[in-house]
Amino acid sequence: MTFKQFCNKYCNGITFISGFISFVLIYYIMINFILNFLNLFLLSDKQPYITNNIPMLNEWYKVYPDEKHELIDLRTPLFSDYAINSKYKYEKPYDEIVEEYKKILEKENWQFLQKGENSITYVKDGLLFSIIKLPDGFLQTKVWLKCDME
Amino acid sequence: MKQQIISGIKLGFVIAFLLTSYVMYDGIWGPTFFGIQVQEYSQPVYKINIFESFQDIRDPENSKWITAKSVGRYGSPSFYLKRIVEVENMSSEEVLEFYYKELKNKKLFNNIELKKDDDRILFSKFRVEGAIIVIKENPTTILVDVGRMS
Repeated sequence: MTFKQFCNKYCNGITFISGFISFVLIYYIMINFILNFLNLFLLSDKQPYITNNIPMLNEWYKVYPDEKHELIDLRTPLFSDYAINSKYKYEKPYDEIVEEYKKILEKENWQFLQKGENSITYVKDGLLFSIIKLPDGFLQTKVWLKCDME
Repeated sequence: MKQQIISGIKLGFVIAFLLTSYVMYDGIWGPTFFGIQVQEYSQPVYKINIFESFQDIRDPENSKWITAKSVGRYGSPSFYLKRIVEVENMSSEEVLEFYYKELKNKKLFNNIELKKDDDRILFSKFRVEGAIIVIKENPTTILVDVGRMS
């Protein structure tokens, strides 16, 4: 196909209009189909949190040491990682801040679940709260779903 | 003409497929493709500032969230985080005084204005603005609204 033939075939008003209508319809159908498929088959255990993510946001809000800090990064829940990830820079050393976090978590009725090399995880009502030490000296917190761990 | 319409439908299908793939890939499969970093999921800086301010404004001890939500359209710079909080055993004046002191003492915002007649506190700083508004008495219920118009 030469350039002239390509232009004649695709660069005209009728093709643009039918292309736009086709695009809108197919895009709408595909997005809806995929989202419904995900909701029905893949995300059924997360459904209560997808329709109402207040508990996650509320727990993220409540676990807050009153220390000087800066929020460096934040990621809200996605299908690929259904969690609120926050990256903080604290003036205090990591160990001291972790102790502050532990006090707050225990006060808020979180229960200790496990400790890894650079992370500590607590559990409460189907939610997990992890404190992660990052290599660059920052601290990451993650509020996520217990069903994602199993 | 029939050929032009068919070409348009084909073109629309291809564009819709590519766009759907991008959006779905972006949300479902996450930031890597076979281990290669292809997307960064961090929120834009202004949204991180809004989340930080939203978390920095601490509620009184005897309070609970009624609801919370984010308001904003994908791709639009306008974004708000809202929470409705019920505070027990405090009058609306006391609650406003509490938040006003909280904002002032922590120097969270540059401009903080307590408007007792309107039952609200208005505040702002670079890229972030908001309000704390009394919406109901007995028990005192307030709206904490932090965001950016544009």
